[in-house]
Amino acid sequence: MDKITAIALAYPLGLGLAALGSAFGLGRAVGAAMEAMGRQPEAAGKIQTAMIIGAAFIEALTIYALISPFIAQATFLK
Amino acid sequence: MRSRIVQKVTDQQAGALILRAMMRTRGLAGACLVLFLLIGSATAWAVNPVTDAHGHAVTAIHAPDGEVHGEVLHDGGHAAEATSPELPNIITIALKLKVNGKTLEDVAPATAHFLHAYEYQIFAVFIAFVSALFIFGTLRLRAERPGKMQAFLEVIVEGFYNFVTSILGERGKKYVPFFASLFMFIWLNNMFGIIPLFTGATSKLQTTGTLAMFVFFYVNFYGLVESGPWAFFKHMCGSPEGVLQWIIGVVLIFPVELIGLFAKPLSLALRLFGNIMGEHILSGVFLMLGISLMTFFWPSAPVGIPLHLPFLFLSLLVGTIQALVFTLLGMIYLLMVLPHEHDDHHGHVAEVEGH
Repeated sequence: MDKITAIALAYPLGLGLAALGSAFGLGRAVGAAMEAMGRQPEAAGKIQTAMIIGAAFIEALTIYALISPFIAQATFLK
Repeated sequence: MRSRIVQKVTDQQAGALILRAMMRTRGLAGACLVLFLLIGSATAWAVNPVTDAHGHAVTAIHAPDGEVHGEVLHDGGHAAEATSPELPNIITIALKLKVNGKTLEDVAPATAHFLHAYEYQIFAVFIAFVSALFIFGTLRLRAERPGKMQAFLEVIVEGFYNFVTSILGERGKKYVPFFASLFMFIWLNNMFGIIPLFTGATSKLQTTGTLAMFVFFYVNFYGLVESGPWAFFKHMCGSPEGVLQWIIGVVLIFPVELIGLFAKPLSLALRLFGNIMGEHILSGVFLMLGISLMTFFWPSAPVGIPLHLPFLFLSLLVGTIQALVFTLLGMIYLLMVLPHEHDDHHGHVAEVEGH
């Protein structure tokens, strides 16, 4: 297996795994936020802000998996 | 904050006004959308020969990273050709356009090299000029005789003001200009990334890294100034009291906090860069797919099928949310280093230590 094949195999798999984890995390976070908003509609604004911050932190993990091959591209493909 | 007459316009009324204006111009907006799509696929067509020498559809419209790409091409064949297809913009078109069989690089190599190396920086400067035009446009506005433009701008400014003060409290007033301009710059860049023939500089790590460094220095400068160096250091150690807590704080918590200090701008930069670059690549890939499909049915078609249409709307959403998240997290980081605010409304509630 040459380098390109290895990357072509590993990159989507790793990205998929990272996305899976983030999806679980996002599902939990957004679900809990929705529940809280449903219980206390008057606090919806504050909950939404906190939810967006948390979601940003969670999805950053997938983004790291997405861009790490791009950043390490020069080293990988030499 | 708002001028006297406009004061009566509530947020809901302002939203209804904007919606009504949008409804009035929907024909224009639809025409613009069709134009966008046609220009998008037609320019991709013009830049890109449909098939390469071997008869395969070429997947890369444009490989932005000159040096890396060049090296790979020399020894690795066309391995990196498909790494980052993006929508073409004015500069890449100018670089690839052939007049009498000559590209710009043959005629003026220095200019071509400059355009290639500073492609995204040129767009960043252009976008900064666009936002500067707004500032010059506001010079003639006066609170005594407000017009429609003033009402619109005041809604935006007050939105920013409420947004910043909802996070930082009333003392956040003096941070409004920084975070508002940060938001505007990132948002305009993201939006220009959607418009055909333009691109946004936020899809480059250089730009997002610079913005994140701005936030890093701004936040820590104000953290040091507002709380003083000693309190800042004490906060970094987890606000210890007593000898044992101090030892634990200096030995364990301080290094972790120090790493956290530098990880924050890094994560800011990578998040924005990854999102916007992913969005551009997604649009580029689907645009190329549309062109390939069109050539399958009609080999000499001048335009492709605009398959990237759904992703333009997704880009609108992602661009706005990411601009918001970048600004919001900058404010949260500032909130973390600022000294804790005494709650004056409830008779000086004891300051909560730590976070």
